[in-house]
Amino acid sequence: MAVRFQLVIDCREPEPLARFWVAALGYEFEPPPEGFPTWDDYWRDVGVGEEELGMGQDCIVDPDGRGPRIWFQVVPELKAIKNRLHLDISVSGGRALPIETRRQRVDAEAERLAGLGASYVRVLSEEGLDHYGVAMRDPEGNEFDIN
Amino acid sequence: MTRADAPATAENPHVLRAVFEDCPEQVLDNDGMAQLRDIVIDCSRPASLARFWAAALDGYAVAPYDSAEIERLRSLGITDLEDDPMVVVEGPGPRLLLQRVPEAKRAKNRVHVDIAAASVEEEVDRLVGLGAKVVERYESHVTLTDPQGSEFCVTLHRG
Repeated sequence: MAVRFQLVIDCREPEPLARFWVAALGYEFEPPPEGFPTWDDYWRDVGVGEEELGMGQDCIVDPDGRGPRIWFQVVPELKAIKNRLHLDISVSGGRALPIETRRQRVDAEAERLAGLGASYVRVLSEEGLDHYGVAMRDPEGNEFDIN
Repeated sequence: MTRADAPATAENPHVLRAVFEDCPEQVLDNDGMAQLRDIVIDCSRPASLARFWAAALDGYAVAPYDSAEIERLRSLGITDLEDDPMVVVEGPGPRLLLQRVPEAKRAKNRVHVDIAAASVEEEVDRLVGLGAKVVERYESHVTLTDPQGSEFCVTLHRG
């Protein structure tokens, strides 16, 4: 059963942010409908004005069909405060694995995403707690966690 | 301080224990491949908001509490499940984690959920019946807020 919802992320520049999330989630750019070389061709065909075209690719999908489609919507305003909805990326493999293995996986993923434009916020761990995560921000400042 | 008093936010390292140990473990050995596992929503009353989102999303339900979980919560001073600071809603896609945070909502979210429906009007009526409020109606979609003020949309499901 596919999910019947999508996530919408406000942004200034959709394509660079979409590219970041493609890399972060193992997603891919949503291909344009059949018969159209690009999404702009499609939108033009359905009557969308030129002023709304030329923004590049702004929709990404899960190739496995499990996760929701994500649309990067251009908005005029900048991010002002912490989001009240954020994404958690799982790479650790779960608590059955040794904490050290999980830490290495999380750190490696955080480093990879930092190389793609994410920034570190903090390590989510504490003495005696069987959990290790890293809080980060995407290239436009949206918070997310890697666990 | 009991967990019910803890400001359960993943942003606050002091309450990590409350957040992560409250989240039922899922066996998930994905060999380090990144996966969108959870969508985390900050709110003031997780239990009631979890019921709303479970009803709103096709195939989703509030994760059941087994006796071990109830006992674990009790050991942390939580006797009423309505006070659980982190409630899980699970379904065919990523889980929704409703987590209690101390701060109130102050600005429009920059991330929101769009629900696709074959009939926008019928879906909006259903969600309003569950406690959502209509913000604005457009030609092909309607913007709403959930019972605790987070924005979402109902859009036409094509195909």
